[in-house]
Parts: sequence; C-alpha cells; structure tokens
Amino acid sequence: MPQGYDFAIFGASPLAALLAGLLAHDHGRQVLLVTDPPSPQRLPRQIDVALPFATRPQSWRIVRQAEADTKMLLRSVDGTDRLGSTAVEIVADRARTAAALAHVSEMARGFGIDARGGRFNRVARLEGEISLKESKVQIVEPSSIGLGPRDGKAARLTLSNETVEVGQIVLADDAAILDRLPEPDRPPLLVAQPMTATLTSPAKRLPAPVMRYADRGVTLAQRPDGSVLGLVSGTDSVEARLASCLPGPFPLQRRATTHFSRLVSIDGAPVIGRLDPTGFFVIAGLGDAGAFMAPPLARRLAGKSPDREAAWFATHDFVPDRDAVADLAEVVA
Amino acid sequence: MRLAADAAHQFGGIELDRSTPLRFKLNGRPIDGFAGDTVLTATLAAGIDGYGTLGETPIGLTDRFSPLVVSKQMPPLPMDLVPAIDGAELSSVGPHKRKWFGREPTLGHRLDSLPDAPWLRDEPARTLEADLLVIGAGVAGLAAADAAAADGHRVLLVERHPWLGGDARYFGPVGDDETPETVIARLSAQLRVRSNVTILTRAEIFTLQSGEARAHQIMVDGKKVRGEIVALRAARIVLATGALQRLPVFPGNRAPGVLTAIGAYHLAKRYGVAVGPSAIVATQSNHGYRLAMRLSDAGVKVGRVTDTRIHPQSRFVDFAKASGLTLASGQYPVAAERGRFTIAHTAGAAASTVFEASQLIVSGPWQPDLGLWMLAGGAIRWAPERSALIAAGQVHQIAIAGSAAGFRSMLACVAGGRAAAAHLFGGPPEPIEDAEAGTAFETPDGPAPAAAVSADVPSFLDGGRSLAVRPAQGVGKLSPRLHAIALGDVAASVELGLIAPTDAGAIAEERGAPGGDLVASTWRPSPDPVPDGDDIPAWLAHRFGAAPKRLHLVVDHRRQFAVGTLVYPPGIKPEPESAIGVIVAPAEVGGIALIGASGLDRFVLETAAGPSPARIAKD
Repeated sequence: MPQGYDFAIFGASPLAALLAGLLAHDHGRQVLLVTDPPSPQRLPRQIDVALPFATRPQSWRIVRQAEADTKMLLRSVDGTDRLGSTAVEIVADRARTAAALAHVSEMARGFGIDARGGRFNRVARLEGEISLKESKVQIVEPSSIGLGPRDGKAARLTLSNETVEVGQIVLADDAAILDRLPEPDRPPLLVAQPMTATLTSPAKRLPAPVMRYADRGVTLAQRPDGSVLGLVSGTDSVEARLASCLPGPFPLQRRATTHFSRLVSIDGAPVIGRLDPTGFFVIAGLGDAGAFMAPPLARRLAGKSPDREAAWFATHDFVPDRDAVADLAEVVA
Repeated sequence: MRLAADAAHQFGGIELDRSTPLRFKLNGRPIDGFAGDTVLTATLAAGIDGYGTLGETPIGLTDRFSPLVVSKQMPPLPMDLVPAIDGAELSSVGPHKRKWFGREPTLGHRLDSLPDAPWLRDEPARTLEADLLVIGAGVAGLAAADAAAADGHRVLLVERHPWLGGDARYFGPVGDDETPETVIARLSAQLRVRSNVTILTRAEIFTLQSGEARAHQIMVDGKKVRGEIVALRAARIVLATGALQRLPVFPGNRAPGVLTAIGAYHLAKRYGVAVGPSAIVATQSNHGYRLAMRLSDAGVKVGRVTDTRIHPQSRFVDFAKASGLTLASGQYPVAAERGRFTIAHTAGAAASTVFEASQLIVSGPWQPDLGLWMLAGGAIRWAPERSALIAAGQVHQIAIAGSAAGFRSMLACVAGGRAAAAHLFGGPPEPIEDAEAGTAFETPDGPAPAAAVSADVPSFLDGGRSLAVRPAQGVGKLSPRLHAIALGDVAASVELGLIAPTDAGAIAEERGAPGGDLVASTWRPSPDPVPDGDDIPAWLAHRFGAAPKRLHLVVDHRRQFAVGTLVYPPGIKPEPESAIGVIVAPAEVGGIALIGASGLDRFVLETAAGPSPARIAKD
C-alpha cells in the first residue's frame, strides 16, 4: 500500500470506476477507489445513455467527445461488452417542455445523432459493472475508511489503522456526495431529489427501449425479458405517474421497489469543481450522460484539459454567476 | 392419509370433529373429511399432494403453496383457510395442464402463472379501531394483546390461521416451565373474556401503513363462506408474525411429498393428516428428532432420521435412539422425486442412498417473518451470527415481538410480547432472558445444507410463492418465477453465495415489499402558465449575447422553420457552437428566431431537410 494517494475517488457508479482507472493508467497517478462491492442484484439507480437533456452546444460538444473517448477506452480494456446502443424517446406534455425538446433534438442532430422529434436513435448506452480488479487502482470499502482533518491542501484518510495523505478527494456520484457532504455543507445549488426505482413484471413493448417523460419525472428502460425499470423523481403521485407512462397490461405487478436520492442542480447544468471549505472535488448534475464523462474529468483532475474543455469546466464550477450555462432543470414533483 | 383418531400426542387432529364426517367435491373429485378440516387438509388426507407442474417439474401442494378455490356460492379464497363444507362443489383456480379425468394425486395446474388474489383492491366492508393492533396470535402476540388489554387499552388481535398459539407447540415444553399448551390456553382464555379485545382469525393482513392495516378475513356462516376486507386502525402496532421454516435447497425440494417439519407437525397435530404412511426425516436441528418420534408414535413409519451435523448431542437424539428410530448423522438430502429421496454424506466420500417413502420431512432454519415490517417501511439486515435477515432500525409506533424479533424460547417470546406492548404505551422496559434449557449440553442447530445444482431438476430457494430457483451456475439474477422474492429466498441466496451479505438487507427490501400492482393511470401534469411571448427561457440566456433580438425569418411564401432550428451566418461550417441564433417560435411562414447582434440580413438555417437560406421578413 503506498504512503499516499494523488486521488481518492468515492463512488460506486461507472463514472467513479472509469475515472479511477483513467487517472491510474492514462495519467499515472496513485488512485484509491472507495466503493461498495458491485451489487448486480440491486435495482439500478440510473440509466447511462450518452444523451444529455441539454440545449447548450458547449455541453453537447464535451459529451460527444467524452462518448468517443469512452468507447475507445472500453475497447482498449476489453470492455466493449458493456457498451451498446439504444433508441431513446423523450416525451413532453407541456408546451414549454415540447419547445425545449425541439431545441434538444436539433442540438442532437447538429452533433450527428439521428434525432427526429423526441426520438433519438443509436444512442450509446453503458450497462453492467466496470471491473478494476486487474488495474493499478487500490479499492477499499467505505466502511473501512475514515476521513481525518485536512493538512493544508492534502486530505488525510485512515485506512487499516494507518493515516494516509491524499492529494484530492473526489466525490464522484450522488450517493458519495450525500453520504460525505452533510446538507449544511452542500451548496444551495445542489438539491437532493427523492427518487423511486421500480421493476415491473414484463409489460407490453415500449415505443423505445428507453423512454423519458420529462414532465412526469419518469424514465423507463425495458429489459430483454420485457420487464421495465422505472425511475420516478419526487414523492407525489409516484405510482400514478409511473403507471401513466406504462403500456400495461394492467394490473402490472411490481417485482421490486426502492427509494433513494439523487442530486440535481437548480439551474439544470452540471456542477463540477472543488468545494470549500471541505476541499472535496464534487461531480454532480451530469444526468444520464454522466458515465461517459470520465475522460474529460480525468484530464481536468490531472491538469491536462485542452483549452475548450478547461473553459467548459471553468464555467461549470461553483462560480457565483452561472446564468450563461443554465440548462433544462429536472422535474421535482 | 388420516392418522388414527386416538393417535399418540393428539396426532389424531385437535381441530377435527370425527363424529361429523363430510364430503365435498374438488375439481369434480369427491373428497372425504371431517368437520374442522380445511379444504387443503382434507385434500392432502385424500392423497392429493401435487399442485401441478412448473415446466416439467412437479410441484407439491403444501401449507405454504396452495391455490385459491372457488364455487358457485363462494368467491376465490385460499384453499388452506377455507373450511371443508359438506356438499360443496369446488374448483381450484388457475390454468390447468389437463382436465382432471384420472386419479392422479395432483391438482394438475400449470404454474407458469398464478392468478393474483382478487381482493387486494377491494374496499373494506367494515372498519375496526383500537388502541393497539397485534398481528399474529402466537404466544408473543397473545401476551402482547393480553398485557395491553389488562391495562385497559382496546386491542385488535389478528391471526391468519384458524387457531391461536402459532408454532410454540412444535417446540414443546422446556424443563419445568409451563407447557406451550398451558400458556396458550391461559392467555387465550384471558383474552376471550376481555370486552376490550377483538380477535379475528382466518384473517390475513395484506397492507400496512400509517396506522392502518387491511385484512382479508374468511367469514363462515353455516355452509356459507365468503371473504371480507376489514380496515384495522390503531395508532400502535405489534408485529408478532413469527418465523418461517425455510426449505433446504436441493434438486427436487418442491416435489410432491416434500414438506417442512413445521408443516408436517401442524398437519398431524391439527388435522390428523400425514402425507402417506412412511417418512424420511432430514434435520439440522434437535426438534426434528422430536417430530420424528411423535410421527412414529402416531403410526407413521419413519425409515430414517438424517442430520447434517456430525454426532449431534441432544436429549431428543437420545430419546429417538432409545425409541428405536434409525439415525444417521452427517447426512443430508441431495435429490427428491415423488416417493424417492436421495440422501448423501456431507463429507461427500461415501455413496448416496435412495430411500423409498411417501414423504420427506425437512427441518430447515428459521427466518423471521418480516414482510409486514418491510411493508411498513422497516429496514432489514443480514445477521451472520443467526444466518437470517433481521429487522433493523425503528418504525414509528410499531414494535416487533416474539420469534419475528429473533427470540427463540417460548418464555422469551411471551416476555417479548408484553415488553413490545409496554414499549408502545410508554411503559418501562422489561428484561427478556432468551435461554433454552439444556442448550449448553446440546448441539446447536446446524447450517442449512445445500446440495449441488442439478442441470435437470431445479433447486428452489424456499417453499413460498416466488418459485425462485437457484441459478444453474455462478452468480445469477435473483429472479422470482411468479411472486415477489421472499425473505427465505434472500437468506438462501446469501448462504449460497449468490448475493453479498452486505447487500442482503437492501435486496430483501427492494424485492420483498415491492408494493401492490400498478393500475392504469391517466395522470398528466398541470398545463403551463400562459407564456409571455417575449420570454426567453433560462436555458437560452446569454446563448446569443446579452441582448439578442427576435426576428421573423422567411425563405419563401410557404416554408416553415421548426423550433430549435439553428441559424448560421452564410458561408461558415455549420457547427452548433457557431450558430448565431435559433428558431424559438413557429410562424405561419418561416419562423421566429432569437438572434444575437450580427448586423446580417441573410442567414442559413440547418433544417431537417438540409440547409436553407433565410432572410428577415418584411413584416
């Protein structure tokens, strides 16, 4: 075990694993990944598709480049079985959302995605576990680690009764942020949103394998056996909203249900940067496309961002004026 | 088969009135029974021990897995709760593989799908209110209800079975303590004379939240049987739901003739029923020997008692040996089919032995029944020291008592019931000593045995309605075949290494209490407020400079531009970052664009049909 680490990445998401792997292998850093063991039996908390629900071209540019980099990365580590492509359909009930969706669709088309109306074809999708067992990344479970007081810029962690210094702690997914950053320390820009994940028994075929009902706060993903994973935001009328998006047959049995929280930014744009006074580097608000953002984030953390990326990260940091990056805010019902 | 009326240990059936024989028809076949039988027990006594087939796998009819039955006069109701009524003409509900023309010992259902209980969305026929709702009338529930009622509180006591007392009688008396019969009789008698106690039997709770539960109760009025939904309101709830005996995991463990020790005990003790004249008893606990002796005394030919443990020490083992039963330690069941059960050595060295018997009685580990706890929002965690999922954390105004709370001895369950009621009413905590007499000299229960996976015959994770099967190899999805995954399925999965112990609680919560079925919904969001025509949404702010203009762009007298279409200056590569504007509103001709200060009057729009020139309209 090294005396210290350049980065300690907290998080169990694919983004956290990919970020840790990239920092260790492509950027030659000492990396500690603090994560629970993979849990394939539990319900997924997100659907990882490279389709930002965003209207800003700068955000689309960075996601499209990140998607290409991620595909290349997964090919290089024999991880292509994790990559697929899918059709995504976004449904708007309200006129304003329909207008926003038209902008998203045109932006997607501008960046080479086959988009028509609310349907987006051949969107990259990431599924399954990202294994770092053969990597240089040191992996520990959260229960075996303690956070010590900071010493200047470096953080201290207690690991196996030893204190190790860490150059930068990165909170790479919502669960890690919610766990390590109590509400009083969280910037008001980030809001914890209650979520419900439900797996149904096999249902009739959805119009597309991934459906997003933007005004109902519901995202659906149909599995090969016909069962549907539904992610519903908020706490009001959860069952009614979910059922309103499903094609039946009704009554439709629920096989599993769980509740959790995710973080959304109130201005709808990603929030990425070092947060004082904790010194944590926080990654939040990336939405469904977050899993694909590891390559630019690794470059950002390693200080290797090209100018265009650096500019994007600068505007999406914890800066007071984010009007110029505000995007489509998530529904909180 | 029916045991003798005067069989030892009251294994002639304490629920039966043998002086009142009856006959009913099930799926057209006449079934003989006695007053006091349920449809299930009379059917099993008639030698029908098969429910049907899952694919090609025969599945047994048991106390934990039986169909609904229906008649012209009766809605679909659970077969194990409906009393046998003379002259009734019943059918079992669900798809049949074939019509029941022959005399096969099965109901012949196809188990690829099961009908849901039709009453789950029915409205309550009546509402009962009390200060305390006690769910489960085992000794813990009886004690909780009695203690609260003695303090003057109004109590509702709800029990799924037709009888009170739960499973305590199975374990028998301990040392010089009161016998379970005495304790149950005393508490039941006290409750029956209290005017502030209402007891509902044959009533199963199926929803529980925010101080209200709903029960489905079987109501019997002469020969009329019906179901009724009862709403039960109480600010405080004691969950005394007991524990379920899990089915050991081996190929064929759901075959007809395989039943748990607790199931076999209640069949014999309550209804004088044995699933055939001979039995092999496979146990990993001392109480399995007690049951084997009693069945033998009652006339069942017990061919062998096997135990996964090596040379276990117990008074029950000694008694069984002295009574002449053939005992074999370090052995466990590895395969079962109707009438043929294969037993192997745990060490794996010696050859396995096939026994022919009418039933294989398996004594598995116990899993606290915490399904309602999870429905109420309670958390669950894996307790490795107990090899079971147990309750974690608190739920406001709900207390768990008895074996559901993890207690093992009868006296601890009684004390736990009293303590749970006292806790909810703000009383002082009562110390609970959970000691079993002779424990220090007796071999503790062994781990649940698990035989190797068979490619041909499925091993089910437990005996309930999920019909979840152990994956053929490696870690697979924990998929229920029919019904939500139950705690027993999750517990078996942890022991088999299918899921991580740290995940077990979360998986149990996710899968064990997924909520009711979803019904069709026409929910829609409230409409937008009427937009201001010049409103620029936040996501367009600063996109085209600080002071963009709204311009009407056209190309000819017909074409319209779609909202979202990007506007470029002529002659540049159309990359979205280079756009100087975007269509933000439709128009009869062309479209309304938001454009940054450019000084241009000619543009190119990237439409779905390709680039289109545009100019500012002369409005």
